[in-house]
Amino acid sequence: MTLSERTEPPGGSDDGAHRISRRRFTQLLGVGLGSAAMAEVLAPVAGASTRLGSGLGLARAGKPTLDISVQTSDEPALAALAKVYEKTGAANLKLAGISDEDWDVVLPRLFAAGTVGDMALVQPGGGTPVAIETLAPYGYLLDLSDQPFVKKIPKSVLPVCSVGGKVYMAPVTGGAMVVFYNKALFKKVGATVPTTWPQFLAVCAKLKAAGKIPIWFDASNASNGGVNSLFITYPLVSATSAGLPSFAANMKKGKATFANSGWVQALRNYLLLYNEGYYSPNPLGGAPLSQLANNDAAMYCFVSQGLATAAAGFGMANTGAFVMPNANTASKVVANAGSGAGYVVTATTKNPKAAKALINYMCTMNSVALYDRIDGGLPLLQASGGAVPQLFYPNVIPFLKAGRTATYFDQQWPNAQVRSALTVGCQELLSGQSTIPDVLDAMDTAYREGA
Amino acid sequence: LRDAAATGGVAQSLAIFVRALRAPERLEVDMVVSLPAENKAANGDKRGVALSLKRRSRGGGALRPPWILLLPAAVLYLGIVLYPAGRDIYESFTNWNGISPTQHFVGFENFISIYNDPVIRTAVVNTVIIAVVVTVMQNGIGLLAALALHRKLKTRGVLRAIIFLPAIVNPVVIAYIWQFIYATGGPLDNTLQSFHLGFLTQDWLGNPHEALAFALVPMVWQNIGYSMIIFLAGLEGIPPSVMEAASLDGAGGSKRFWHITWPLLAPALTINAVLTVIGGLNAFTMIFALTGGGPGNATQTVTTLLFQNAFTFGRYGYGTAMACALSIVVAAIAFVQVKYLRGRELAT
Repeated sequence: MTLSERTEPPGGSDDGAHRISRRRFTQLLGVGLGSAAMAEVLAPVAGASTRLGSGLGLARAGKPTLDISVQTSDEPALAALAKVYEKTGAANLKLAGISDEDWDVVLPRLFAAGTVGDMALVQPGGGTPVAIETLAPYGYLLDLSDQPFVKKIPKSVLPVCSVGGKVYMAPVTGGAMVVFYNKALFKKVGATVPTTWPQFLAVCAKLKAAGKIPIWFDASNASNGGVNSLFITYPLVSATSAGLPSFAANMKKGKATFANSGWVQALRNYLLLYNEGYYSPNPLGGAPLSQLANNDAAMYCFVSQGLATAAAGFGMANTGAFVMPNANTASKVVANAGSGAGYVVTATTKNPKAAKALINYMCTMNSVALYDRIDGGLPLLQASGGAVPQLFYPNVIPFLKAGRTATYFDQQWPNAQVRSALTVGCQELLSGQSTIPDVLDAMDTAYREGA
Repeated sequence: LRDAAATGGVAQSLAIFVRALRAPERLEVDMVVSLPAENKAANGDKRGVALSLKRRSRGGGALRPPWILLLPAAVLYLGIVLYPAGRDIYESFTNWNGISPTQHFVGFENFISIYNDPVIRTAVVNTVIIAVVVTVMQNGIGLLAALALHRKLKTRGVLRAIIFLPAIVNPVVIAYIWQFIYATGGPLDNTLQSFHLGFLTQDWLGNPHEALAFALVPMVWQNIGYSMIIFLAGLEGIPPSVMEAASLDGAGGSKRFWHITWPLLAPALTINAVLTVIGGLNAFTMIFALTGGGPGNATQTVTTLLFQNAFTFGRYGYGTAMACALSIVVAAIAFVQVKYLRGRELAT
């Protein structure tokens, strides 16, 4: 019933006498606006209620609902997995996507507010606000040490899934820093996949001589907050002594520094590639991805999860990948690889049993293969052996199988400032504002602040 | 009421307002309006107008203002502005990392740390440059646009809309558009080359010495329309008779501008100057989306730095301390600015 229907007499409108009074209108307006205001203020609570209501409704039907906070870039892979899992009848999965840009900002707030859900996608190791070393000490995560999936985690990866000897995270997907390349362009200039550093430089020189951009590189903050520098520097460090687990351990003990390590040579090589003109022109001002699609740029350094971007540029069938050949002899080349983001069970979950069951399911061979196929990740879990990534990473998988890997470095750092010091320093190196010793000193200072 | 309404525009407006509110069958309204001169003489009221509105019910009791209508806005203001602001002030005195369930009071430690921050000097200098350049350029060009489009042109409506259009677009979108324009081999480079000015092309946003200057271009460009609209409103308020009289007295365009237009635009200038200084000191979105404070820290501002500390580094207490310090500085500058410009208004 509308306002006019209610106030108009059966015999028709009596102008003035039977219309809603101004006082009544004011009261209704006040109630309406008040309700709207309260709805605004209580929106978070209302959201929580909706979420709770949904879960309870399904729980009555004997099937719990698990709320999972996930980064949007991982959402398609998890959604595909959820579709399969829900068919088993074990639980319904409700995904709450958080954009990649907001992940570091929003997820910690959800944990602090207790509204993160039953499970969440977080970062392994430390160094970011959403890493398990940041979250676990405050009791936000459930100890998963007794779960069957823990036995599948390779020894090299286990430390970044644990805090204080307790395992908190399932590394459902892994990754490696690779060099995607345009097969047709390589063929056109007569280049083959390089396996040593001199060969890599020779390929770059050939491509440059052919008028191509050897390596697409956007060093600006506008692209991924400047992290593209990591995809070149980390592989360059991996084959040095700074890539060894002992270096990370010594850093923690205060017995090693960046300034006196393999980082020096790695940054020299990073600058060498720039000075030789092997990067995109003006990388500090940003490089358009169209350089890949237009066959202008031949190589693209990224983590394996960047497969979709590379394939969009080069074409799926025309995309290959190899490990940055960071040593003068092929047998000494080491890949930079590690756990990608992984899943945790939150301490506030009302369904710990169902959440643990799901996380074990996620770590089965088929699940990992499905997840990695969509996410572009690499199968790190032992015995998972996903077949699909082999199609794209025949040059990479052998490094993982042989254990010739160095773990992503920032996962071993105590705070986000170290990574920031590196990305800012890389920009300042390219612009001539800083020197290698200055950059490494800044990283050491940042490391000490978090130690 | 009729007598009072006849005394002038204010009274007429008020009479209309009262009529709209009054319930004729239940209420009576008394209104007393004193003319400015009378009121100044009687009460010394600087504003010159004293209005007394009494609304009585038939029972004779005075009607109170409908405070209940304030409730929705008050609740929103309390929940969205006052409470978060209060929390921020408190958190600026803690070492909270944004995640910990507990917060430890650290006194003025965060504020002291600001002075030792290796990037704060660059950020403050950049912030001041942005505030000054945006204030001068945006208002200068906005004023010129307003003067040009205040004339009787057939296309002035369209031109006003074109100039104002960027102001209604999200700054992030503007930033992406200008990233494209500035890209190596992008529209700007191609345009310069087509005019045989290829030697001028450069790494527009990648040169640490010039990136801020080029980042300022879209910031000014986007908001010229705002300044123009406010100046246009000021120009519309200048009585044509005054300009006509000046013309008849032989005043040329320049003299009319400096002796009539410019002084009478003082209120519009006050609004524009205060808004642009506050906007410049708080500049965040465009810089964050366009350069992210880089290359290196070349375009870092106080706001991008505090965001980085709070949300990327997990130094929430420190970040909020920066925000509080910035708020105090902005408020102090705005206060001084308003006081000076209002004084100028009264003097004219």
